[in-house]
Amino acid sequence: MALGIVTDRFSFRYPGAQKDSLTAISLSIPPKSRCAILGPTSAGKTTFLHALAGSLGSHYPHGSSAGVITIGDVAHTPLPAQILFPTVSFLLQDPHVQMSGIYETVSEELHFSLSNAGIPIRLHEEHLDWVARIMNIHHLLHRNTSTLSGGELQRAALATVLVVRPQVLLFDEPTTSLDIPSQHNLARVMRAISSETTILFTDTSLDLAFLAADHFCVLHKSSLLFFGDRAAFLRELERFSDILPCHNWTAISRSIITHRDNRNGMRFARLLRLP
Amino acid sequence: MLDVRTKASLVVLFCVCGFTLPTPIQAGLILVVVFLPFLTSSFRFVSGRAATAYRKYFAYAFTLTTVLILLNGMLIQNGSIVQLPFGLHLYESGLLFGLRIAVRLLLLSLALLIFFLSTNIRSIAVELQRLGLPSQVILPSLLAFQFVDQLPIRIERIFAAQEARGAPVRSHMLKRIRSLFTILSPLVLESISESIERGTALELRGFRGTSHIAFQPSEERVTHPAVSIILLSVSLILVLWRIFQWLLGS
Repeated sequence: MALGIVTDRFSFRYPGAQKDSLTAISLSIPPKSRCAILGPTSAGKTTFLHALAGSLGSHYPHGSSAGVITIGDVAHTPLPAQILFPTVSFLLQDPHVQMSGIYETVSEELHFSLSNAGIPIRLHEEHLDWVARIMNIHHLLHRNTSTLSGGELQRAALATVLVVRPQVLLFDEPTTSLDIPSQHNLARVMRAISSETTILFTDTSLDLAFLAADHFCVLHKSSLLFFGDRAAFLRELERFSDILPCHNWTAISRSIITHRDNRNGMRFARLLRLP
Repeated sequence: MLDVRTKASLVVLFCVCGFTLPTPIQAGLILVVVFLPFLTSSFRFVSGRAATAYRKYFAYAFTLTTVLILLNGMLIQNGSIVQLPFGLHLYESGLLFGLRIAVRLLLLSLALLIFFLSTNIRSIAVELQRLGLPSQVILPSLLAFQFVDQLPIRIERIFAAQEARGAPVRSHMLKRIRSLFTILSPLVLESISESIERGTALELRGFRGTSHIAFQPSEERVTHPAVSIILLSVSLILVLWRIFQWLLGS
């Protein structure tokens, strides 16, 4: 059952830092949505995900924070103090560190996640089958993790957090080591699981966001510049041309608006899931 | 085929020899350890990467031991003087002291290296579990082993990066020694950063101190408890003998 996420004027400052890493972030992400958190580097995107996962509160208990983070029905004031796995699963940016390194095969790594989540052993195979089907990784299950290519490792890393069927799934810049077909595949996976999982992912570019997201959030210099759905984001896209690589997308957007009555333009808009 | 426990006992014996036996015997033992992977299947390398790491170890070991011996020859100014070209001179006592230290270090490092290059992480995990160690001890230990396993790849990557910046990392020995410092700092920083990331990733996957980790042995191995007991007993006797000698003042 996917959970909604609401933050109310959430702020955080790392211990010893001169300024906030996140300043008064207020947004409301509905359950089952796929939200892209966009922005340039040092905007606070990763910090925001760590706050939602509980690792920020757990690792920096003396950080200065304010506001409220509500995940599902549980309000954390100001942020979760403990890691919320398996309710919230978080895939870090580097897939190499996602593998524990102590198990040889992908399958063993998945069993490790399931054991940590307290899922009974009799249900492990069911979870493994589900994640292998969704991710299309049956052929990787018995492979040694050290022999996987970059793209395969990224998929296996995602499987290690997805296998517990979390209610909220967080990705930190998942496109870093993915080529275009793999990004399409990731977008397909996101759409497939969003009926039971709320997804948030960060990115510095817009390609995956337009492929997969239905909600958009733009962070810049620790502050929230925009939060809204796809249509609202497209309308305001040009506002972010200084901080996001959106010139191609604004051109495409204009072109589609111009040629909306044209059959090719409509097909293109449908393909890109544009409004 | 020796099991992990017996192999570990043999490594312990070699390490004890490194602290208790005279230098000429230690030098002989180094030769034995060097050829162990080719003499017995128990110490055969687990992968091609392990074999490459073994070959590279000799290049580094030669450089470091040479530096160690020369430094001692320069700094410990006792005994007769050994003349070198270009008016340089070293001291015999320092050279001998450096040689003793170098032989000891070589024996210790080789014995440990052979063990880890010929034993996969899963076997070590299974053995640690058989010994009854809790998960919160086994997991960090395995992560440390894994770090050692990844070290050659890391060094190679930093080598390539520094080489691309024009650092003479593949030049002659003196330049290599100088470039060692340019490798060490990124190596240490990268290691610390990755350790933190890996720990965070484990936590985010729900691993806590109380979590249980289960390893299934990949194959049943014949154990040799008697051999392990003999090897460890010999180690103990050598330690006691060395303590006895020290008490006698020799």
